[in-house]
Amino acid sequence: MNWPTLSVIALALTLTPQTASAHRLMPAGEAAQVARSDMTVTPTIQWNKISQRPGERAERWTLDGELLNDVVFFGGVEDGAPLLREVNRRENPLPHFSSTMLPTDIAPLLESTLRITQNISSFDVSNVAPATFLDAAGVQFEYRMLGADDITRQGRAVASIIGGKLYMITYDAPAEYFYPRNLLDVERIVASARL
Amino acid sequence: MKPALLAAAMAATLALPPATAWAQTDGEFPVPTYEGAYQPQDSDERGLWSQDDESERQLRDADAVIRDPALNEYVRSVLCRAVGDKRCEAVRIYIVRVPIFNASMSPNGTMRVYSGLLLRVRSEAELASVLGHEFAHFELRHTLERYRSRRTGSDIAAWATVLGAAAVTWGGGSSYSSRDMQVSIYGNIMHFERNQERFADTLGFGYMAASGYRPSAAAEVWRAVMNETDQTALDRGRRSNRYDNVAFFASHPTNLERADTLSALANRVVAAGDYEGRQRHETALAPHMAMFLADELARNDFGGTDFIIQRLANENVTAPLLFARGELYRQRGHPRDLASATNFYHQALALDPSLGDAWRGLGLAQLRSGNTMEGANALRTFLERVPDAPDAPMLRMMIGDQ
Repeated sequence: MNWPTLSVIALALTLTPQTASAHRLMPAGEAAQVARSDMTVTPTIQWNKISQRPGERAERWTLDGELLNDVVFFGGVEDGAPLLREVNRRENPLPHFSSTMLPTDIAPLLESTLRITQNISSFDVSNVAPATFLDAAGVQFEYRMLGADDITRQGRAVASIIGGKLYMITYDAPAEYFYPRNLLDVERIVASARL
Repeated sequence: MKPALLAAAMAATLALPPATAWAQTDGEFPVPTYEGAYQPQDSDERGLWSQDDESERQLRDADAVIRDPALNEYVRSVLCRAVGDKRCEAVRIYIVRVPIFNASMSPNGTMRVYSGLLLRVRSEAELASVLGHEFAHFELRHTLERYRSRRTGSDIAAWATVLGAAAVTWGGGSSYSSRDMQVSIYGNIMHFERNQERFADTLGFGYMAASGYRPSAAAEVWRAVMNETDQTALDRGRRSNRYDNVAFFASHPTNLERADTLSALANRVVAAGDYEGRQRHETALAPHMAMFLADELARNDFGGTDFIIQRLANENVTAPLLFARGELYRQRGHPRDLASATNFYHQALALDPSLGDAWRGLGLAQLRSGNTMEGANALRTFLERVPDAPDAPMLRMMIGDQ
């Protein structure tokens, strides 16, 4: 590790202590605009919005912390852009969304993105099926992944490519207890999504 | 920054000796008499062992460990042949599912072998050279030496470890407990000194000479990993003349001469064997190749992955390799890539007509190229063969068969 790297880490640790990121409460029953896009959702229970955006066109909601329940909204990822913020553009660049992608290409795009950003060890996709999302023909799929923390998470995603841009909502949580506990709440969020 | 650090954290135990530093006379690669079962001697060493024991307990139960008995037995047999049965008894091997070139060994005898290493070596001899090198660090108790020199040296190194480890957190960076687990699974941050690398290589060549494996395989492995790094850089449009981002070069800036040095060194091993073990290696890896290749594809490293596939295919072109290459090109998705992918899928099917997934890839590549009719036909063939594929409903919808 070289000195510039070290000093950046030191600086990062000094400036952004883990407790400093303020989250915002998203009240139940109120339509909220998400991911700096025209997409709105109306939650039926209170959620916390994590103030640090995970990507240019992404927004993260959670109930108990992102490791326990992680809902990410993608509001119009453009052609040539990554889904999430680059963690190391030089050495481990993220894959880019392309507007010519087929519905079946979305799951591998998410897999590669999560493998690089979260160092997950395995990612298995199932139940890839057509879905209507934001009044457009899209795709939904489920995934099961093993994190670097050796916890197995279950996930679900629904996505549509509208006007060459990717709109998607993903939800993942530890497969034990947490995932089933709030699946219905997330399904309601997805059903309430409007563009 | 995180992945670079993580790479360093996950890896870092393999490295090469400096190109100079070698002034051996012929045949001087002695293997000392093995001391047999060893117990930690003083408080430093007992401390390291107890940390290691705790790590190993977590690793033992980790889901990221590949437990297939046949594969584990194979890797173990290569290590045992390389270092001898007596030494081998001191080791517990854990094959960890991480698509990066690395292996490491900790003081209490825990050896971590990454799946990415297994994918990148082509024969028993190549695998033996890496495992032998790692074992040599263990036998020479380099971790302890390093720990002591670090503790008595400047505090900077210690802080680098603390800060580096703190930066390696999961996802959004809000988890510390997961870091402990990560270290347990992937191994600790460990950089060896240059002279330690030299001693480990001397002993490593000693093992190779005694075991009958072809010693020059060592140089080929190192060279291939450097070439892979070059290809990664080239594909991303930047220069590469340092390899400090590669897991096992993490502690040393290095250059291509090193591989040549190793090569020259290998030639000096007297009474060297020529056992390669290519067939046995391929047979042992075959059931896992599809998974290892799929993990590799998700790294989003077109140049590096293409290099790995071609290096393996140079020895033996197989349908899974051609299929993986098709997937790699289809994934990048430029129009020319889709044409190449189509070609690779056809070649894969020519070698192994039963490879159903190649029909899927072929169909999707055609569809994305705008060849709707051919694409739909290929996907229909796929769905006939694999009617309950995970994405069957979506594919049926895409070709209008729902």
